[in-house]
Amino acid sequence: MTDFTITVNDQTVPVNKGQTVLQAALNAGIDIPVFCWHPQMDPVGACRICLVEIEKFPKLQVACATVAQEGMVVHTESPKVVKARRGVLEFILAHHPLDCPTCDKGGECDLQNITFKYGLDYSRLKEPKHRYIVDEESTFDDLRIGPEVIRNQNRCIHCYRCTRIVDEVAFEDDLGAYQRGNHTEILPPPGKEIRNLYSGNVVEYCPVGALTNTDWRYKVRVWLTEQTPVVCTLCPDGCNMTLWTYHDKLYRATARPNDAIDKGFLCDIGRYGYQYMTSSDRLKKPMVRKEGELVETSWGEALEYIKTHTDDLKKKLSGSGFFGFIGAGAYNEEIYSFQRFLRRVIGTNNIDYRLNRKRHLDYDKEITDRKLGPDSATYDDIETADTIVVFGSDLHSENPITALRVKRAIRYNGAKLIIINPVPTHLAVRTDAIEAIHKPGTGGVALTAITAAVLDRIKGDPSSHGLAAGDIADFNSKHSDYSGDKAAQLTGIDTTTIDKIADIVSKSESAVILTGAFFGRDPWRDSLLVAATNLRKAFKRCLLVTMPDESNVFGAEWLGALPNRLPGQIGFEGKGRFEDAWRGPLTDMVGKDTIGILEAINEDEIECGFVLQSDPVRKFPDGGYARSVMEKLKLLVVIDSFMTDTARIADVILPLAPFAESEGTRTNWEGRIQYSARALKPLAESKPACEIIELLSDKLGTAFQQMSPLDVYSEMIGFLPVDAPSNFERLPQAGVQIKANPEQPIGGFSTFQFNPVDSNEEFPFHLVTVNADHHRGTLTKRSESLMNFCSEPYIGLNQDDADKLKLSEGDLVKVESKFGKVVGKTRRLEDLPQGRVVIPDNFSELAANLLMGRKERYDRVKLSKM
Amino acid sequence: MTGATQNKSNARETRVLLEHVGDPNLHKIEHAIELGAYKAWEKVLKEVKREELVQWVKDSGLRGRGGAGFPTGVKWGFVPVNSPKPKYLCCNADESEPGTCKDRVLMENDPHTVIEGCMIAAFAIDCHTAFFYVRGEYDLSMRRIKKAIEEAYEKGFLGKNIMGTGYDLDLVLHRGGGAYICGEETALLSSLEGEKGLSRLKPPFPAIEGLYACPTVVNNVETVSNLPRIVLKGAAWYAGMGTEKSKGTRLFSVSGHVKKPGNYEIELGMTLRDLVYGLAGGILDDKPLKCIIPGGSSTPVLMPDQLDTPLDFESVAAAGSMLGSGGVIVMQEDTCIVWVAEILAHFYMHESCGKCTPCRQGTGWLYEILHRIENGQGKMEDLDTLLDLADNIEGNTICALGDAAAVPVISTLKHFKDEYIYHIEHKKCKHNNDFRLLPK
Repeated sequence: MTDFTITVNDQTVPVNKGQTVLQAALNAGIDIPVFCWHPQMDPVGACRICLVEIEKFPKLQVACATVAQEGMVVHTESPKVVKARRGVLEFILAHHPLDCPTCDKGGECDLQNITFKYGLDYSRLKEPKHRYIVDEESTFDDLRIGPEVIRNQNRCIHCYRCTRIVDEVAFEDDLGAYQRGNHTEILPPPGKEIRNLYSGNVVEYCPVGALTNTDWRYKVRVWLTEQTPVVCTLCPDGCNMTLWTYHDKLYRATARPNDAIDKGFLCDIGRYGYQYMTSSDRLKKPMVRKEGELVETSWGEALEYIKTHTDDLKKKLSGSGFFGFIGAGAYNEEIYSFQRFLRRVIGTNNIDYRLNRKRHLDYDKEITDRKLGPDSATYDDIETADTIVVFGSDLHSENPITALRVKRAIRYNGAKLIIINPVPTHLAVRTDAIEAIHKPGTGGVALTAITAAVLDRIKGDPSSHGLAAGDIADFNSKHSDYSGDKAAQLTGIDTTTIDKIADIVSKSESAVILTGAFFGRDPWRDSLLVAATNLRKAFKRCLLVTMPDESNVFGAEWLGALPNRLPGQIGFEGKGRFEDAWRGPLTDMVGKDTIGILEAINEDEIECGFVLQSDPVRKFPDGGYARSVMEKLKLLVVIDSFMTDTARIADVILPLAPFAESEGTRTNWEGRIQYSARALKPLAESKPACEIIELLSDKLGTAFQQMSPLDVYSEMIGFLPVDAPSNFERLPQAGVQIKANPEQPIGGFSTFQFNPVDSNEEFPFHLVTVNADHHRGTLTKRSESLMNFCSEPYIGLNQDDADKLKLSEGDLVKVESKFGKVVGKTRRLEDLPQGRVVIPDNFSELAANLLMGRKERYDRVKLSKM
Repeated sequence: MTGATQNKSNARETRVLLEHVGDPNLHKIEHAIELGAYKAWEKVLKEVKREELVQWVKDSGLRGRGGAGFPTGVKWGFVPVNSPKPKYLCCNADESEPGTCKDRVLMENDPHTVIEGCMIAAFAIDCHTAFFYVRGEYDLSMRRIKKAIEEAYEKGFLGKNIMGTGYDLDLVLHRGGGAYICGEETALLSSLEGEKGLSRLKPPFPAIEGLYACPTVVNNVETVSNLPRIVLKGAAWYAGMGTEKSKGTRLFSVSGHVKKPGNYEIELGMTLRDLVYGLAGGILDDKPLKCIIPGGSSTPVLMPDQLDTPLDFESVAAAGSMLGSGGVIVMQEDTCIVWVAEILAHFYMHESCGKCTPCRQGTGWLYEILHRIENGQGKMEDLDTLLDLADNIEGNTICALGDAAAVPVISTLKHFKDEYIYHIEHKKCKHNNDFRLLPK
């Protein structure tokens, strides 16, 4: 469907209204060179390389910024255009150092390519070339302008892509163009570095070698490498990446633009996070515990060890004496084959991926709530929304690319952003957001107060918001304690802020509520979900998305990593299908969840477990308990790539090949299933999970003859409500989406119940775990590049609190709770409200979960100077 | 052509804008009011409809005095007055074109007329917040305008509900940071927004999406200063001055080798000869004339045989140049033209904002070649390179700064190629000039 046509070089080119001449020409396969233009940013018309001749225009026009009009006649190769284009190239090259042989961009440099295609092979410049002097002593022109970004200003062609990415895409301010004219320099503000979460994109989208990163510099030439399409595993955003390898070694990750998801941008965590796979402390051989020590052994011996011990235990216990934990970072196929192994081979439903929860909701209720509330949303729903509510989430660090899409909604759709959190988050910076910080544990009250204020504004016409006449009175009668001044008292959010938010909400036509980890890890998240669902109903149109906190949670839920659900979220009444497929009987005894499993181990009801790519000792919010319980196991088999805290107490460790050494599909937060290919051979003796599970199944008696992820996929995909090809390599790049709940829930408001938080004088501080800058999970601390951004854990507290405790920046401070203590360096934070302590959960050396009690609603701590 | 015989002229100034200039107390509001300031503003607010005012200015034939000469009323007409966005007026007082100092004389001497003109222009586009962007180096201008605005607020000519008419208008003074580019209207808007002064792509034109992406009109100081007179004396009176298409009077800043340099206000259509030899008293030391830059340094030179060109937009254009900003630079015969071109090239290199390639790289390259020729290291092929580089810049940039840099090179090479060749062949200038302004 096109609106009209234009003529380009005698060719009729279809145009959609609003398209530029450049877009229309590129779509029609007509090449117009560009430097400064980028499909995801506003045209700036700075480089002038895309000048074209348009009849009836007195001057040449830039194709990138000229909107096509019906009947335009465009020439891209006329003598006038060719001369001007050569002129522009000559100007760009005039002072360019032409150091291609030592430039890392060589081979993928836009300037090189365009010069070969359109330029002259000589220069008329007789004067010496300008040189930006970085250091009089040095013969190099490199200047490190950030932890990862290195600048060579001489190569810069002043396209301003980098500064525009930082400004327009990332909404950051740590890179700019300083000075004027041909002295213009790309630099961070004085005394600062470029260290925003999206800093790698400026390197990737630099059309020349002016910006490079330490990750890739001087290591390999681009034409020697092979590229593999993969999907990032570090958060549920599901960004598409390309991994670049040479001789079976990883060199870098770059964006693989997917317009449905990432729009061609990556966060630094994804871009540099892959380095953990090349870390020297990877497990290379299986290990078994002999006389108390873990020693390396062969696969045969390790499997034999497992068989001997499980056979013994099986004689004593039924399947219910076993369990499995899986990390929700694994591939769909790995999750599926792991749960199939436990259910069919071991005979237990004791399987869970939710390791960082203190309280599990009633299983079926959790699923039902999930179906009632959160919806199938997509990134495009966020981008087209006029109001975005971020509740209980540090979206910027948990879902960096979702945060970018929120910023696009703000920039291109004028969307209003509302953030409701217990601590300030970076997303509020430069987004014109209304940020409401509530006292810990009162987020639900804040939402209820907003809902009440919205209802007050729309009470004249409730039907416009899909509400029945009695709904508002009903809501008000049940929630009178949680609105107005009473709510302000409870939450610490003043009524003006609530009113401002309510004004926006009541006028919104289309909205999205995004929740994250603060929400997901709250033991009383069922009441938060009620509050969020009520707010959702007060909107005219609103989608509620509960963002998972690990990359493949959606896959884990849909592929049976739950004690009460078979793949496809099928209950045990439907187990017949699986008994047919897996050729054997299945137990319909409902399994235990994480807490149930740990308690059962403590009661000696469970004695053997399998842990795949997961670290319960490090993750369970009562680290001391998890460890002491797991140590009681008779047999603990850990399948992982690294010596995790759980692996240290294992009886058998099987070395796992991480994602790039295997292949499979992943499911992002939208429910989108995407294929990720294998880039490398498994390191040393490590093996991909599907293969390990098949070996275990075979050894323990029931082989599935499914060694490869593709075999598993073709069986697995039949249980999912999607229309997908039977070979994952044929999945489209945009993937296929599982439509979890396409219908909008209807009906009136539910009753929100507030669970007050007691004050505690002995332990006056609230503990909040966060992500450290440029980290996610515990794998990223094995990435050298990311360690350049933040290399050690810290204990963050308000600077006034710090003053009271006489703590200066970097002082050692002891954090104590009823359950344990940790010591770390002080970080004084300006905008963190008093009474909170933040600890990043990315570093094993400062394990915040040691301070947590599994039965405490909120974790309280006290601080003392060392 | 010798100068001495040409000095006799009956040329007279027509002082409309400069009517009271010279009065030492003109910048004080009480005195200005005695002389008629703010009468037009009162009339506009109390008696005139917006559409009527726009029509008057269209009828008067007033054209922009900043350089391009676009009809002011037509420019206002582009503003979508029904737009829900606020409309903005920006008065461009960032007068920086080499050779031009006409706005300065108005701002320093008659600031009340200037800001009254801004108010009338604001009214014409239904604007309630206007900005006054004054060149950073113009210290006295800035102080005079600042004081004038303060006084106008005190007297109730600005602010809320002005003179009981219900019209609100704020006038905000902004002092530039000292960049030539900020006189270019889109760069001026970027600068006002607090950004670096970089020109922007057009379209969108400021009238549709200007300051803070709202409809905006940018008018020159001299342009708006005409408005109070047009309102009081009528469009027909104004249209009665000047030529058929170039109405009214205009300020010319005459500088260079003349006996009486200064600002002269003349009816459009007076000949260049009358201006230079009549009002400005002829060439210094009665030497022969070499050439004249008629409209600020970015306009092509006019030669002595073009002295009888009438100074109006059309005639000057027909003579191959532009009326531009009215900065008339006169050069006597033994001026080194390569040196002139070098100075101008240096200026444009220094002032190029660096946003788009041809201007950023080209201006510097032009300067470097000219510098080399001027210093006796030129090569014959440099002349072709100069012309070709200038051609590659001209018309290919975002704003007119690139064109401005190319024009002096093209124009001087056209008329004085022999002088360039002499420089290259003899490695020195054929004139006996040994003064240099630029540091080596």
